[in-house]
Amino acid sequence: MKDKTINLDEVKGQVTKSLKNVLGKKATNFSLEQRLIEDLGVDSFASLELIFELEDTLDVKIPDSEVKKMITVGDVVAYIHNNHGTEQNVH
Amino acid sequence: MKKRRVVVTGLGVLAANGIGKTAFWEANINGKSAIGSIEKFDTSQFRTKIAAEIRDFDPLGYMEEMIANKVDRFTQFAIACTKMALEDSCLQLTQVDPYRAGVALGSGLGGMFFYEKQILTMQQYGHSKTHPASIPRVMPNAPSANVSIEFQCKGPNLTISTACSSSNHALGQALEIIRQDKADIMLAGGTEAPLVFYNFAGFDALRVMSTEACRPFDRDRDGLVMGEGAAVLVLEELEHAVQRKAKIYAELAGYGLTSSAGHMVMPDPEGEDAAQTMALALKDACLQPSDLDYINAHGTATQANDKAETKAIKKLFGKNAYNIPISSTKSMIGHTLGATGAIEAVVCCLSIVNNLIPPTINYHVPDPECDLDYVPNQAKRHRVDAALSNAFAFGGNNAAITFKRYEG
Repeated sequence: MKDKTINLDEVKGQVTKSLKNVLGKKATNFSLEQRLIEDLGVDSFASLELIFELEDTLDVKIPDSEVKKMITVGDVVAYIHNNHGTEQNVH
Repeated sequence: MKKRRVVVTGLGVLAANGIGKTAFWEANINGKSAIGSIEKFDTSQFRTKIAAEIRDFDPLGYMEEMIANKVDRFTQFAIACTKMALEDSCLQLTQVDPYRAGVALGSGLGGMFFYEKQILTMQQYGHSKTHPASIPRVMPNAPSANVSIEFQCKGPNLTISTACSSSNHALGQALEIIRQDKADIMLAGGTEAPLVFYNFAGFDALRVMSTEACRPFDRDRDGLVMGEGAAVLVLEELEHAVQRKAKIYAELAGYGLTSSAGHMVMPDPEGEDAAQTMALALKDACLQPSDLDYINAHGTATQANDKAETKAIKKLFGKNAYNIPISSTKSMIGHTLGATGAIEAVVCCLSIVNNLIPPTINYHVPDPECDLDYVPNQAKRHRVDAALSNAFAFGGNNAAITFKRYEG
């Protein structure tokens, strides 16, 4: 699915914003290396909210099978950018 | 064993005619109506085009943006009222055992804003656009759950959903919980944000809503007016409140509950069950009918309710029924459904504190079948040592609660 393109900064910006929305008080600054579960406390419910918001705002599709493989913030950014991005791939 | 007594030590209220106990009380004693044309949605298809909307509520005044964005309007109301009630009570929840503090809230309908939005989104875009938090946002216990989380109350956590008596039952159940020593503090009340197209269409189809104004007990009354609102009361075990030198508004002293076991939406025309509900609430408070100084009526302004409620009052109080001031808060703020008992409980407490009874407004033409003292149009100075508040719901779930002056 590559029906639209999004640049890397846009992906990073939206992932950061969505993480903040989902995590609320716990949110600080996010690095690509941070692990979603262990470092940020993204539990299974927060993960659903995060993916829903990213799909909704960026108009992309992230299959559940791919979500399971995402360990870090960078993984989320990379998947979206690799499948919908314009510039050089990350990772 | 000595019966544990329960007192009210904090009030938080949101109504269309006033936010916070001071503004709300001023509006009530001055007979300020907040009923007007609906702005939230198009009413051109409906018979009724009026409601009591809360227009100046900013959730960010009471909670963080992240919380406000994640909950439905009825939960925002509950969090806001709880914050107001706790501030009013000067109670520091961090200084009490969290397992001795609980929540009991009523809501008749649940998170209807988000519910309706999700149905429309699904219809337009398909099920993939269904928000994963749809269920926790719309479920009727979302307010009590969020209040428990936000204020870290780890004791009992209940939601009562019995339509228009939801919050009278929530207050009554909270009373029982403290009496039974299962908690020392209960944040109790109710919340409703019913002004969405679906609800309005349903009530309009039922033909129970007025097209002009809410006129309880008036001969020309033509139905209820839907309203938004919420209230939370800090209920506290008496000794707990006394020890911390809390300001005590009143004692929540009695709770009566029955079922009409008759009809889904019509009251018993003879008011038999309503009379029994009030009798139980008085008995539970160790009050005689002659002790009562004020009735905050259910007073919906439907022909059927007001007639049946009047009959019930006469049945229970006999000739003395004519000496008891009765008023309907709904004449000013509409019928807030699952929140109505909680808001009217605030009125009862403040009536006891101030010895002043808010009026039933829009009362102009006496009805021979409703011939009691409804405190028409002007507040009444009257000593109130004992007050009773009625709630009679669709489904026949009746609940009345009684408040007494606390003398210390």
